[in-house]
Amino acid sequence: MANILIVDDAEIIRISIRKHIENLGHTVISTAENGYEAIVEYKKHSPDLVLMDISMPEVEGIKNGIEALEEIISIDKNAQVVMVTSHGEQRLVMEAISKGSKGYILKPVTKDKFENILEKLEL
Amino acid sequence: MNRYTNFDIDFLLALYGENVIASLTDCKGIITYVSDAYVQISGYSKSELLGSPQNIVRHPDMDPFFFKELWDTISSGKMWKGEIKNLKKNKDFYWVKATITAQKDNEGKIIGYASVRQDITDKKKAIELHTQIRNMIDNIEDGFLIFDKNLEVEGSYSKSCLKILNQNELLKKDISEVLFDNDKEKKETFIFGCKQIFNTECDDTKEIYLSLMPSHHFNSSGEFTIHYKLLENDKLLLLFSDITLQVQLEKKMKYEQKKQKMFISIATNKEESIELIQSFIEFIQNNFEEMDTNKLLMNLHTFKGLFTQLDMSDTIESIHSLETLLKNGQFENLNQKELIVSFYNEIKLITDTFGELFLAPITSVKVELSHVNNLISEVESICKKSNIEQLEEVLESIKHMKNKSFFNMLNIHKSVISNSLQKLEKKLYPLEIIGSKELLVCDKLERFTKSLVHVFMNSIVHGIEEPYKRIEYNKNPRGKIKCVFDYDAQHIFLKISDDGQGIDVDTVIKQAIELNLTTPEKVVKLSNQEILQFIFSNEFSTTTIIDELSGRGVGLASVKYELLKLNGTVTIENFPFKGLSFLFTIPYKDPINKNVKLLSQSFVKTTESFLIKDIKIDILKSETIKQINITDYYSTIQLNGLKNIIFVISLEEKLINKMLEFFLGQNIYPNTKKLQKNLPDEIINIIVGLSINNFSDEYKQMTLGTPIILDKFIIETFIQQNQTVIEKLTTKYGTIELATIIVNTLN
Repeated sequence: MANILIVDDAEIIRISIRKHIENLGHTVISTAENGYEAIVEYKKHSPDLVLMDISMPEVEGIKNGIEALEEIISIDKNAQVVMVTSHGEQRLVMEAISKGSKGYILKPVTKDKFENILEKLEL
Repeated sequence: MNRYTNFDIDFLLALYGENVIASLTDCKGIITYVSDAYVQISGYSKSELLGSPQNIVRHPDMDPFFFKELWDTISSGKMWKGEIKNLKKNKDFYWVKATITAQKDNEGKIIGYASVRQDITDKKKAIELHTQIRNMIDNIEDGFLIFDKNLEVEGSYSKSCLKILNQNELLKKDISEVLFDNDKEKKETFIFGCKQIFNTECDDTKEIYLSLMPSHHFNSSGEFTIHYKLLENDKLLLLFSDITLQVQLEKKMKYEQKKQKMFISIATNKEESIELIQSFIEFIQNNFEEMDTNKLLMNLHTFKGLFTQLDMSDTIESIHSLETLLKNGQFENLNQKELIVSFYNEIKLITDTFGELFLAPITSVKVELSHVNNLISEVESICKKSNIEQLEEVLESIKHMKNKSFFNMLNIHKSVISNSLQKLEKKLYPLEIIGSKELLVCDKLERFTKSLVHVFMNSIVHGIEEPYKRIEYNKNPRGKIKCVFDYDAQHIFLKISDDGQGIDVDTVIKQAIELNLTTPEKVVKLSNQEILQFIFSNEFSTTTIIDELSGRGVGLASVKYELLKLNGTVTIENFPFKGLSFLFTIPYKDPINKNVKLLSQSFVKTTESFLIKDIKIDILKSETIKQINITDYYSTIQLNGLKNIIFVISLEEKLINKMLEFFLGQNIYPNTKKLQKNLPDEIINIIVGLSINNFSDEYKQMTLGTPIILDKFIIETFIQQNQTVIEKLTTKYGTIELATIIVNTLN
């Protein structure tokens, strides 16, 4: 069972992801609405996995999910971050992967997609 | 030198002994010595070989000229080196690499020849196999090539790659340039992805990058999907599959659809179409190059707009490309001919479909029913083959071609009235019909308009007085019957009035009581209108007493019957001694712009499947409504491009709560109110996002905005002023209303 941090600017999506995660028997240790909060929450909880929306509004100088990812990796180089993305963001996802993200999930999110990625990450 | 040669052979023989395929012949080529290895490889025995000519092992595949050259070389005393295919005793073959030298005596005279050979059969076989594989590779239609870290293409690509990628040579070329020279963004993604794939150690990560690589390539030779495979030696293999045909087929289907669209547009706008086509024919007779550029441009632009309404896509395209040329300042070499050709091709399609006479410049146009029926069955067969739902819409529209002018439907009564007057001693002005000739209605309405003959007959027989009576009443001796109609998006309003004597209400009451339609007690409570409506009852129509009435009745029941079938209503306005009017209201569907309908259809369909499949809510009812009811839970999203399209959803609170349950589960959240407010945004984003896939191409190019809450008043104004379709879905948790609005300009 893993402790997971959900980062998405849309509350509905956060809650929807939470539902899937909890159904799979994992714990949502915290949620964040933007990249800045994500970093704060990461420091607080050191989750096993971060599910990070790739495009979010800029807060406190953190422009999007990728910048938050970079920050989190610099705090903890073993951090496991998976990007949540929409169609047409391939280039951004590649960038995130190159900066240490462990994978991506294409919206709309479903239980199967989470199951797959969690299995891959052995969580 | 010669001595050295002799020494070489002797030396070699001494060194390798019988393991070397060696032989000696005399100066005529008769074998005088063979090594054991020679015996073994040739399959002959030593005794068979000795004394035989060297050419006992000559293979028929070898060119005789080859041996002539060999012989010329060695007989002149020079050494010969080369590869020879030899024949075994069992007719099998073996390849050798041979060195042959002349042996000379002390005086330098040739006394024989010595040769040593190396078995190269395996090597030759490998080369042959390679050639075969190469051949196979080059004949596979799907292309593949390999490139390295520097993105340089290796030599072992399949020949079809040249055709696929439109290149003469690929060796050492930069694959990113070759693939995505026309698409900077894709190229960057490709280069970035390759760099990551080659530089990362982790196999899983490599797979992730591979899944993100651009998977589609197109150029002038076709369209291809790209599959990526990472090879073990840190190279990437690209596999191209040709999907051109598939895409072409889809395009052909779309083209057919476009044509059908054109036929429908033209058939439903007959008069304008003909006028437009005639004036365009005149216009293209001008030499464009001699015309004033601005005027030409303006004319072209106007025509383009007009043809757009007729969906004449090829003509539009040709005009558009001319326009582009002119705007870029190219006034010469205007391809007027191309425009004329595509225009007349489309005209031919039209006349082929509707008949030659269709485009003749006359005011009334007939389309032969057989043509329409042909068109219907054609589209029906395409529908069956392709399962394209949009075509069903097209089919529906073609069926609308059977629509008739409402005016003409009424007009037939003119002659009926004048004919019946001859039998009566009454005088009437000709029937006056006022209304738009452009109103087209479904032929279902025809039964109703035909039944109106009873209304007219009642007016003539019972309403309009004899001329002498009319003079007595100080009226024009000539009576008048008038038909006035108008329509809005949902209704036709038809008023038929005469200036006769009206209805005596007391007589109607008396008669109604006698016919047991009401009682004296009840009738007191009835309104005037309710009493007048008795004249539409069956009893009034069939009774013989009717003739004694100064009122009406004959046949009116059948009018009411037809009217009810159309869900229509009628009101009677009675002015005793002055006249009588019937006011009919008939529901009618305005043929809304097909585009809005199609967009709305796919919007509604996606919503339905979202509700049914995802949220698991059944839809009890789905209907088109006129007015949207915007609740507290609504959102809008815009699709921006040539036109702007606004989608609106508005949900009842119960349904929002049910959806929240889907998103959140059964749990209670403290800030449910806020979530309720956000939910419509998410829902409209999901639904319209999914709907886009089902839109026709022109809408796929458009960009989807983010959900916004437009002011309710603004939405209502947009709905009033623009092409709109509103659909209402009813579930057991309440309703959801969906509006699709096409806005031409948006502030």
